[in-house]
Amino acid sequence: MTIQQIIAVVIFIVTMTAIMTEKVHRTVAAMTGAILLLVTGILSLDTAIGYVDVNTLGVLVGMMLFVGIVKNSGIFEYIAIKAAKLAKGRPWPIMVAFIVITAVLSAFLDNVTTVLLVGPMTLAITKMLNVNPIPYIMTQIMASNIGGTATLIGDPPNIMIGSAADLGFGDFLLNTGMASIIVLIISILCYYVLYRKQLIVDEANIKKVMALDEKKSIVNPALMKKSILMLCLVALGFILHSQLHLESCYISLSAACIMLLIGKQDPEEIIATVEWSTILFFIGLFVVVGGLEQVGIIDSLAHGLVDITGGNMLITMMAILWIAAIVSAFLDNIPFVATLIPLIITIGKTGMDITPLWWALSLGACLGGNGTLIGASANVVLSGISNKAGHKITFASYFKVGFPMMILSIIISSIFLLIRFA
Amino acid sequence: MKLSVSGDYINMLLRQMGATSIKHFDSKMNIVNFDLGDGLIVSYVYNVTRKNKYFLQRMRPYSLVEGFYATEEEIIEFIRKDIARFKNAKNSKNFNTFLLISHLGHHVSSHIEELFLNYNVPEEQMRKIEKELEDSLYDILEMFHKCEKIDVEGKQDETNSNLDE
Repeated sequence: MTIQQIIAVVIFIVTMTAIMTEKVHRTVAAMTGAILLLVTGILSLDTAIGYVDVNTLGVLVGMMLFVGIVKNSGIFEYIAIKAAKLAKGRPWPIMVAFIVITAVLSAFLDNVTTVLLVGPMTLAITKMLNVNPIPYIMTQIMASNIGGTATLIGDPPNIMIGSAADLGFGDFLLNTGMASIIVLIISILCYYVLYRKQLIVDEANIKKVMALDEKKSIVNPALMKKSILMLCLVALGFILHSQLHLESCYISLSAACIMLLIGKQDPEEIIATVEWSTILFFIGLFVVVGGLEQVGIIDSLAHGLVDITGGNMLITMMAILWIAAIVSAFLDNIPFVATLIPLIITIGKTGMDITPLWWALSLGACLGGNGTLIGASANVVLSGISNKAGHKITFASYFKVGFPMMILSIIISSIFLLIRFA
Repeated sequence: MKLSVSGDYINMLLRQMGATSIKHFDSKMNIVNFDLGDGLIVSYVYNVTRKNKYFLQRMRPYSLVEGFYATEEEIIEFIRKDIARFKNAKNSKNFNTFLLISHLGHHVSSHIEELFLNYNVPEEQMRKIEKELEDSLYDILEMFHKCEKIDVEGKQDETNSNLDE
């Protein structure tokens, strides 16, 4: 190894260790790693900027702005209450309804945003039903990761993969989307077996839920109408973006700009809702991984992986799926995916068809997040909400349910990928 | 957004209870402490919104009767005068009595609220309490005329205070 390679690897390992152990704020770690690469001359400023995936950042910023405005209409609260009432206040149908709502929202919004929107409603309604909220929270954690796997924009790893591999919304729907639907259906059946005995409520409490008035959630009727229209247009925009030859970030940023223009919300307040810390984290991370690419480490790793798997696409696909799943269960999947993307691109240069590898990476990285309480940010956030409300979800209690469910989802994904690509 | 979860939960229930308007806006909360010595700490909290609106409340040694919106200059001026008054009052031998009276005032106010909102109080008793409080208020107002006013910002001797007889 050259000196430059050693420096780049050391910076990468130290940065990733800091991020994974949470000894240092992840944004600070990523930015420090990036700056070190610049200061040590591994990367020039122009080269570093070239490694930053602006499309990914654009999608994230655009959707954060968009949701920041739409949320003020009360539409998400309305949907939650309406769903609970359509479920006749019955605990199991409410659980299924909230699982589906969480999964669908996660398919279009960031997972953390989704659980932040649905979490408060879940707590309120389970409190009314006087039923243990933990099964609802657990199933929604898993649904958010499953839903996020389904589409191009559902989870940051997918945005990154789609951008790097030039895969469109439709491509994701036909691959990870199909797999996610199957995983979700089978998961719901498992949840019924796991939790049905806990979902017993009094009629009096059901009446409390039925007495909720979803119309009171509509705090801004005009904004709600605009939001519904724009949500439909955004979904359509993402579905057609490849055919329209538009980057996915154009759709999200356009939607954000339109809502900022017509939503009549305070732009400063809305802009403040963007998680700029997350955006800076991504920038730093892209540069840190770019450092490895620049010095040829990614090239070496890619050739090493091809050597180990004998150049067999199916074996490589399975390896990536399962390794991504196990790693993502314990570690942040975003740095892992950011590292594997250039690796897979390099594998592609050896002549292997890498399209199945992208799907394996997406399914493994996104579904793997269900494995443990720390597997995904949404898990940590929603369990934190539950803990704060006095309903503690421990690492062990989550692991007993989450890890087997994750393994089941990866088995399903393995079968799906083998049927599709073998 | 992460910080808004509790707010979302509370607001959802408040809306179901019939709240007709809930406005929220980002603000920075500032807590300011002045240690005036001898265990006297005066604390203020003020919120600054993005539109540079401020809301000021004193927390210790006892809260303001009501917080108020103000400009930057008004907040600084209020705190400056408030601290000057407390510094001056601290030197009075009646200061502890003054604090006790203030706390009693708060107790009276909170107990009256507790009583009237939760119990059926006979009108006779209500009138009696009203009369006693009116008499107390009258005595306090009388003292404004009988006692010497202090200019806490002027050349007032630090040991002089209108809490002393």
